Amino acid sequence: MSFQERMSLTVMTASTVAYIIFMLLIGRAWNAGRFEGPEGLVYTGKTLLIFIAIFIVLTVGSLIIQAIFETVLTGEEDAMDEGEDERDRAYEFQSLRIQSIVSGVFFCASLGALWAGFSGPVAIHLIFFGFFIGMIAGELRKFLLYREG
Amino acid sequence: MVRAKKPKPQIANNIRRLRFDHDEMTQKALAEATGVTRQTIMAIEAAKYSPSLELAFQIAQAFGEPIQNVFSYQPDGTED
Repeated sequence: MSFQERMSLTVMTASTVAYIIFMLLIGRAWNAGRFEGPEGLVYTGKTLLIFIAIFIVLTVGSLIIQAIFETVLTGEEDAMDEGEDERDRAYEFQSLRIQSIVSGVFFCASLGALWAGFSGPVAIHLIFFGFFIGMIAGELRKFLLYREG
Repeated sequence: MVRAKKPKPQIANNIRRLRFDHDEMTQKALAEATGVTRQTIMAIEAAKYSPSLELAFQIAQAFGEPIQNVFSYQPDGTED
């Protein structure tokens, strides 16, 4: 398994773990009625902003830890030094394309949810979930492309 | 009705042979000469990734060969 494949796996794992924790915490707040009424939107904005910060720290932190771990234990310091080339950019582009499509579908679904009478926080969470699923789908696509060659 | 799957076009190459002919040049040396990663050279050599025209010329230049001696187009996906 190449360095890029392992990086994709790390991003997918770290973001899934972060999102599951977020969902568990949100579930409790949801049951407690914190997303209802006009204050619900304020609470949604606050929790999502905090989560995005934690999410970035967790994902970037995992990648740094992985890079250090690999350099120390396997001696593959070349993997990071080699940088990015046209193949990486091509795969990144394909990954972003998948990510955009999935996120777009969820954005439309959130508008549909509003139309169907669901509250603002539900629509925002649906958009956010779309970003998450889109990112996982994009990383998976990248992982499979690197796997192929 | 079942349609036959159209074979994927492929860019075949002689990189492995050319590396051998050039004092057994390593993939890493070729990667450094062309400014890409060793993984990319591996993928191109295994015909799993088709390089850009610019990179194809750079690889040919690294071997001092015209591009048609390094790469060939296989419309039906068959190897030489």
